[in-house]
Order: sequence, then C-alpha cells, then structure tokens
Amino acid sequence: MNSKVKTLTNGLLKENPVLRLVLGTCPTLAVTTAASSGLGMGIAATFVLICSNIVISALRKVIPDKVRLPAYITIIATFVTIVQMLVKAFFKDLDTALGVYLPLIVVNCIILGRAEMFASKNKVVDSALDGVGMGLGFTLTLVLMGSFRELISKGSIFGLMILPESLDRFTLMGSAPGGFFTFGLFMAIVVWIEIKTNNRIKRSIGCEGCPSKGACAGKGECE
Amino acid sequence: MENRLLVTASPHITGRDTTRGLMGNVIAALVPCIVAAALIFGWQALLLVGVTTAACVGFEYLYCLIMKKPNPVGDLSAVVTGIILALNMPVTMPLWIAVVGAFIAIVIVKQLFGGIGANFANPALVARIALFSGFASRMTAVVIPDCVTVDALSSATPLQTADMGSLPVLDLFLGKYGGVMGETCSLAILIGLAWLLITRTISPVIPVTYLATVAVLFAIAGEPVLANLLTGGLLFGAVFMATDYVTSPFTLWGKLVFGLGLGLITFAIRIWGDLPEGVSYAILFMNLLVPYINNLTRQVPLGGGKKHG
Amino acid sequence: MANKKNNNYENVVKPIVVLVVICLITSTLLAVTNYFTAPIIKAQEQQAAYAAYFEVLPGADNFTSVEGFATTGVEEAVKADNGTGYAFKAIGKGFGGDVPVIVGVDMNGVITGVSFMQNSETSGFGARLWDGSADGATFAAELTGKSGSVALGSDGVNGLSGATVSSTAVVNAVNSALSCFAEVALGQEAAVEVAAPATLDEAVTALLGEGAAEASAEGAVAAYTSADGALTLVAVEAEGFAPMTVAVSFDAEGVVAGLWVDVSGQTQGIGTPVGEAAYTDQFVGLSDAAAVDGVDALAGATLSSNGVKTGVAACMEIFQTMKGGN
Repeated sequence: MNSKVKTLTNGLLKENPVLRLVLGTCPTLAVTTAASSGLGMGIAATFVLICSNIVISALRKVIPDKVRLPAYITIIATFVTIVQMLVKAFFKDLDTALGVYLPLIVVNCIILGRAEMFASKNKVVDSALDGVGMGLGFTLTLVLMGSFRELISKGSIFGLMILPESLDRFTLMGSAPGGFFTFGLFMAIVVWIEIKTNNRIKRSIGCEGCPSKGACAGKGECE
Repeated sequence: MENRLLVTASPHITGRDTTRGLMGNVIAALVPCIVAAALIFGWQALLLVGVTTAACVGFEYLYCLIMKKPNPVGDLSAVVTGIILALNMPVTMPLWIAVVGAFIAIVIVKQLFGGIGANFANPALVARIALFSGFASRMTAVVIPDCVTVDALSSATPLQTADMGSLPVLDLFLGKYGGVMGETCSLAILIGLAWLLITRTISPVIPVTYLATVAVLFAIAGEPVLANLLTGGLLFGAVFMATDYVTSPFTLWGKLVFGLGLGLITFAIRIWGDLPEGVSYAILFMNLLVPYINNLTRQVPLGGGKKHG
Repeated sequence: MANKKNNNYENVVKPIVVLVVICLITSTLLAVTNYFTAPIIKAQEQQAAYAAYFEVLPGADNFTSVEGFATTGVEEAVKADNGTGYAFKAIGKGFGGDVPVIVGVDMNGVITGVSFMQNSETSGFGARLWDGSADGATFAAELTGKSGSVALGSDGVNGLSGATVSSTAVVNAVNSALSCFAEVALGQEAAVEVAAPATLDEAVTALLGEGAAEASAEGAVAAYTSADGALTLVAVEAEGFAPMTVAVSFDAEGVVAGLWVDVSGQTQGIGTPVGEAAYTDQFVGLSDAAAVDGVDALAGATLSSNGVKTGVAACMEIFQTMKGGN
C-alpha cells in the first residue's frame, strides 16, 4: 500500500514533472499567464495522461518494441483529440484561452515521457496512480505559476482583483521574459526545499554537458 | 578561501587603480548630470537619485549578507549603478518602482550572475529595459520642464517630432526639453566625459566611434545630424553605459568594433524601427556580443605562436 | 526454420497487426465522440458568427442566411428564425475605406439596433464609432427607431461631430440596409447601384457603347468615336486638388452628352463627389464654355470642381478643333 501512495505523491514534489524533471516547459510558460488557463490546461493534460497511461500499461506486453513510439503517439493523440472535441463543445472559453496549446498536449513531453519511463514497465493500477500524481503535480505547478504571474501582471487571481487598482502592474510578468523568470524562481524554491529536506536528486549531466562549464567557479559542485 | 596566496603568471604589473577609485571618478563625472537634472526638473530629481542609489546599495549589502559573501559595497559600483539607473527615469517615476528597478539591476543582473565582473550586461541598462517593458506608461511619461521656451520642444519627446532639423540646437544642448532625467542636458554629459577622459578612467574610443558612426549614418540618410545626436539618451548612453568595463571589449580593435556596432544598431532602430529610442537595445545587444568580440580581437602575446584553430 | 518463421512473425506481422488494431479502435472512439460533439460545436460557431446580429435584434433566437439579394452596399443579410425581423451587414464608403454597420430591422421596417464593426477611419474622428466611446453609442441610438430612410441632419440624426464623412458613410450603409429590407421582406425591387466606371476605358464603354474607335486629337489625353459615329469622346488631364482625368462625350453638334471624371486622386468624401452623377449631370446638355463656367462649384470642393470645369472647357475646345479641322 505504501508504494502505491508513494507512486501517487511522487509527481507532486519529489519528481514534479515541470520543476524537477523539466518536462512540458513549453505549455507551462505559455498558459501560465493566468491562473484559470493554467488550471484548465492542467486538468486537460491530466485526463489525457491518466487515460494514456492506463491504455499503454494495459498493452505494454502486446505492443512490440519496434513500433512502440508510433503506437504511443497514436493512443495519446486520440485522447487529446477527444479532449479537444469535448472542450470545444462544452467549455468554449477554455478553448479560446488555451488556443493552440490544447492540441499541443499531444507532444507534451510529460505524457510521452511517463509512457516511456513508467507505463510501459509497470502494471495498470500503478500506471494510473502515476498518471494521477504527475497530472496533479503538473496542475498544481501551473496554477501556482499562473497565479503568481497573473497577480503581478494584472493584479488578480482567477479573475478576482486582489491588488488595488491604483497600483501599477508589472506587465512584463505576463509575457515571455516574465514566464522564464517565474520558472527559474519556482525551480529555485523547489531546489531549496530539496536541500532543506535532504532530498537532493543526483543530476547526471556532469560538467561536460553543462553550458556554464567555462565560467563556472565551483567546478563539480553541482553533483 | 581568502587566506590563499595569489599566484599568477608573469608579467607582474600592478597599477594604482582600485575599483573604488575608478568608481569614484565615474561618480564625480555623473555629478554635473545630477545637478543639471535638479536644475531642469526640480528637487524631486535629487530625491529619485538618492532613493535609487540607496536601494541599490541596500540590496547589494543584504544579498551578500544573506548569501554569506564578502561585502562589496565599499567598491562603490552599486552607487554608480544606482545613479545611472535613476538618471534613466523620468522625474515623475514613483519611488517604489525605482526600488524595483534597483532590485532587478543589483540582485538579478549583477549578483545572481556572480557579482561585479561577472554580469553579462550593464545592470542599470537591463533594469531600465525591464522597467520600460513592464511599467511602460511610467517610463514614457512625458515631463516638460518649466524652462522650456520653444513650442516644438513642449510636446512629447523631440525624437518624435517630424521635422527635427528645425529644433533649436542650443536648447537641445542645454537640456531645455522633456525627457528622462539624465539624457537632456548634453552640456553636463560632456563635462562628465571630459572628467572621465582627464582621469583616464575610460578610453575615448567607444564614445567617439559610437557617436561618429551615428553622425555619419544620419548624414548619409539625410537626417538632421546634430538634433539626433543631442536627443534620445544617445550621449548619456555613449559616455556612461556603453563604456562599462565589464561589458565592453578590452582591446582597441574590439572597442572599435563595439562602437561601430552600437552606431549601426542605434541608427537602424531609429530610422526603421517603431521605437523612438534605439540606444538601450543597441547597448544590450552589443553587450551580449562582447565575449565573441573579445575572442575575435584577441591580441597575440609578444612572441607568442599562432592561434589554435 | 522455426526460428525464421518466428522472427518474421515478431518483426513484421505482429507490429503491423498491433498498429492496425490500435488505429481501428482509436478511429472508432474518435468517430463516436465526433458524432456527439460536432453538432454542438457547429451551433456554437454559428452563434459566435451571428453574435453581432443578436446584439442588434435582441428578440431573435437564431438566424438563417438570406441568399440572392441584389441590393448593393449590403454584404450579408440574415432572417430571424422566430420572425422577429432581419439583420444586415451593410458597408458604407468612409474616409479611410469601408465602414461596416450592422443593422437590425423588425418586421415593420423599424430599426431595432445599430452596431459598428471595426473600421479604419481616423482615430478620434470616425474611429469613435467602434472604439467604445460614448459618441458611437449615441449615434447608434439616434438611428434606432427610424424607418424608410435616414439622412444626416434630419429627424434627430446628428452623427459624429467633426466626422461628417464617416457619418455620411454610416447613413448610406443604413439606407442600404433599409432598402435591402424592402427587397427581401417586402418584395420590392432592389436598389442596385451600378458601379461607376473606374478607368478611362470603362468610361469609354459606358459613354460610347461597345466598339468605340480611337481617334486622334491634339492636346487631348485620348479621343474616341462611337461605333456608329454619332458620339465623340475627348479626354484631358485637368488640375483639381490633384491631377484628374476628365472625359466628355459630345454629340454631332458639340453638345455634352456625357461626362466622366476620374476622382481617385481627390480627397475621399470631399472632392470625390464631383465625380458623382449629382454634380456631373449639370454639365450634360451644355455646349459652350460660358455655360460651363456658370456651373457652381461643389461646396467645400472648389479645387476639384474647378478641375472638372476647366477639363470640360478644354474638351469642348479640342472637340471644336477636331470638328473644325475635319
């Protein structure tokens, strides 16, 4: 039972797909301009993730290794299309808010990544739990980042005006540079939590693969 | 760490320059601009400069305290950043936004990247651009000083006037027009430049090349040269921001290329771009290219062999 | 042998079979979902497209498009399904181009609502129609409740102050909508505006008919005679606000039979009306320069009007030379 709970909570912090595994950054940066879009995207992606994880795990012994990627993509694309049709029909506003990033869930690295890393090697129930956990972690991150950016660039969270009207808004946070800055900030917070709880993940790139190796003052300290 | 002996290869040349001394000279060179700003825009200019500088110094001190690094405040570089940043703002800027700008300049651009000597671009410059993008209406607030006598100079910024050739040059020179605090009084900037050159704090190559390139390009394009030179923060940028040590090349050829590039980009943005002001983006862009310029214009050591590759 | 067969199965057959089965299942799933959601999506898109029409005809529930109407100046016409009325998207010619106006008309021919779509009129002037300022809403309210036809300056229709050209464009558009209503709802004849000739060649065809032959005339930009020889056309370049081409057709006695002016260089809405029938018709039937001089200039368009007058006079002179020299 413990391991099931562990699988579930993995995606929340320890292996948070966006901030620790650094997957799915593109939609993260794009839709976190407002908290509600982040929530919508998170829920849509979670639904796709759970469904595709279940199906891929169920078929993991059937799909031959040679064609596993085409098979995964087909399955994932089907679920994304179904979600897209449902959203277009019943949640028109969300469709407008997410725009092109809704169909782009197909190539969201989180989904393909978890299919490859987890669902293809584990049982159905475990895969489903992993989907739930990863999806929750993704949604949570999106909502937090979205709220942060929305608060500073528009003064509201989920549309509720929090900051007084007279206070200037820092509109830069709502556009690309703000997205990257928020992303870096949240990553820093998560690493800090990691250090405080003695949970540092070993990063396996090493000095060779690091872009800052020329200017690095503390060589090898990242390990 | 600090007790290790410093070991370097020969030749061992020492100079009497200290960072503090150099920065002190720059501050002295900026004083005429501060005085001019106060004269033209009023005492609020002094308040803004003071608050920004205090914020810069404060953030640097706090950051190094929290991060357990040695306190660098004594080298006065934060003071310089503060003054330059303040002079890049209109006098009506709310003080808390100025403090935000100080945070961006000192903590993000300078300290997070490794402190003095390791910043990738001029901190005051990046902070100015960030404020421009984030608080656009505050940064572009039109401030017409009381001493404006000419009609054409009493609306918006002169850079947006269609017929710049008809603007009175003396008024432009003395700063009797609207704009951000540091860019208007060309006379003050030139006094500062003179001081920097006399004390050999900066080399004249970058400002001269930059301004000459802009002048020549505008002359070729048939635009009024003097009016363009004296407006839009060009002089201020050329003298105080483009010449920052960390973010400009260190060889003569490198400086020439730097100045040339700056002139080209500024010209292009002013003529073809939608922005009235090309200087800040030009300097930022060239700052990013400096490592490559340094690599390409590296001097071969005396008696040294051919470069590898 | 057995190994090879196994390999074949593993390497070729199984992947194909698995993929095909997966694709079949997913296609079925998609088809089913589509079956249920497609109609809903289509209805919503229709709603969005018709959103403007709902605004001007509040009582309507859904619209169907009306096809085959001939009234010029109307781009789209829709009829409310529940019989509350019609809505039209009419276009007027403004200062900077098209001025699109949405007009809702109830079954009695009374305007229920007017709304303005995005246009390229001058900011602060005609742009007030759609930029959310109160002036646009006031204008719309002035038009609501009118029927038959509207005109600027009468019956409380004041338009936008300082934006006469844009306001005139709106009034023209509304009138087009009303005449379209007359056509589709009441079965009246469509008010079709024949497009005025835009080039000299089109003008030649319009004034002289098909088969006109080129003639030579000194001092003229061009000259033509009609196929039956009854009419001659002379075209000159005159100076209005900007250079303009003036083409006059004469009958055998030198009386002006028709006039065309290329107003493309004149100020839209101010100088361009000199090319319209209301002004040019004044020259038809004249035969000497004195009479031409006696024609009044159009108010506010002195330069353009003088251009027309000098052009007509010059054409007369050239025609006389042509006739005399013959």
